[in-house]
Amino acid sequence: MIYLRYEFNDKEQADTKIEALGEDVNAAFIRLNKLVMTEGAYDSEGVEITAPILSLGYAVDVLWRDLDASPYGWKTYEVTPTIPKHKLL
Amino acid sequence: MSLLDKATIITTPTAHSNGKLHSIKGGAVADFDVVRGSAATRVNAEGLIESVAINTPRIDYTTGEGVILTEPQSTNLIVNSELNNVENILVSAVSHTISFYGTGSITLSGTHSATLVGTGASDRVSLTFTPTAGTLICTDSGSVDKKQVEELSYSTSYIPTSGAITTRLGDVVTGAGDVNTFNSTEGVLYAEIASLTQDDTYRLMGLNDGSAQNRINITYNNETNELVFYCSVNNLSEFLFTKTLADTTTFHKCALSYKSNEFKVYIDGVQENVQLSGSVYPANTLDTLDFNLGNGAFPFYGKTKCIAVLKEALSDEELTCLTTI
Repeated sequence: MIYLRYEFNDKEQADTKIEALGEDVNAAFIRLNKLVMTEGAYDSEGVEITAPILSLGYAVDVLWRDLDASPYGWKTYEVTPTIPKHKLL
Repeated sequence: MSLLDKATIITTPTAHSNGKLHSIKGGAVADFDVVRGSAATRVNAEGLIESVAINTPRIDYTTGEGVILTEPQSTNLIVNSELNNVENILVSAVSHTISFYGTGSITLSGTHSATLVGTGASDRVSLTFTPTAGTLICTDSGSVDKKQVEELSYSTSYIPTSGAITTRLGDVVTGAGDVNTFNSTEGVLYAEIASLTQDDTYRLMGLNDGSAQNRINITYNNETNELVFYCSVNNLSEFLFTKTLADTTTFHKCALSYKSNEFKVYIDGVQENVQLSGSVYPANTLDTLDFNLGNGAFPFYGKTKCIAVLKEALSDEELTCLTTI
C-alpha cells in the first residue's frame, strides 16, 4: 500500500488516466482540482483585494492498496510537495 | 425453535477491534472485515467527538443510540477547521455542504452568498448549496468551531484539518460468514437501517457468492426514499420489489424471506409484498455477507443497528415479530 500525489494537466487527463486503470484497480482516488497555494486577501465586505494563487495542474492523490509504486504511465505525473496542501486523516 | 436460534449471523453496534466488526452470533467466521485507509471521527457514548484509527469500525452515538456508521470518502475543504479566519476554497458548480459547531456565523461570498448562523456550542448546523465554479470565501464571525465544507449534498462526520485540506476515506465492510454459515435454498436477510441522506446513489448490503451474479440485497435506490429488495440467480432477476418510504433517513426494520417459489418482504411489522414464484440457489452457493453489491461495487453507506441472516424462511407471524418496532 502506498499513498502518492499526482498533478495532471487538467481534469480530463486525470479522468482518462483513472478510467484506463479499469474497474478492478484497488485504490482510493481523491480528485482535488487545483489547490490554493496562497490565500487571497479580502476587505471587511468580502471584496477581493488580492486574488488567491492556485496550483497550475489538476491534483489527484491516490491510496494504492495493492501497489508500492505508481502503476505504468503514472510516474510522470507524480509530485512530492514540500508542504502538502492535502493529506489523509 | 426461536428466531434467535434460527439466526446464523447477528451483528449489532457492539464489539469491534482493529479491522473487525464482531458479530454477536455466528462465531469468528461471522465477523466482518473493516477497511478504511484513513482515520475518522465519531461521536462517542458521552456525546464527544473522538478520533477512530485506520480500519477500525465506528460505533456512532450522534443520535444518542449506537449505530454502525459507514460513510463515503469525503474531503474537508477547509484548511484550518478549528481556527477563526477567512478561507478561500476552490469549488466546482456542484452541491456542497458547510457545517460547524458554535454560536457564531460563517458568511459565504464569492461563488455563493449565504450566512450560516450557529445555535450552540454543542450543536452542529449545516447548509447545503450549489455555488458557481470558482473561489468561495468563508468568513467566520464569533464562536465557530469544527468547520467543514464538503462536496456532498449532506454533512458527514467531522474531519479535523490543520494546515491542509484533509480526506477521510470510505468505509468498506465485507466478508462475514462462509458457505457453511448460510442456507442458499431458504432463509431471511434482516436489517435495521437508516440512510445518511436521500441521495441519488445505490447503496447495497446482502448475501452473495463473491460476484454480482448470485445475490440477495436490501438496497437504498438511486431514487429518493426508495428501498429495494432483490434476488438474482445466475444474473437473472428472480425477485424485485421496490418500496417508497416516507423517509429513508429514519430507521426501518426490513426483512426479505426467500425460498423456492416464495419471496416475502416485511417492513416495520407490515407485509409489503409476497411473490409465489421464482427460483433460488443450489445448496452451498451463498458464502458471504457484505455491505456492498457482492463484487465491491455500490457500498452501503448508512447507519445500521442490526444486520442478521436466518437459515430458514419464516412464517408470516415470525416475520411480523422480527420486524415489529
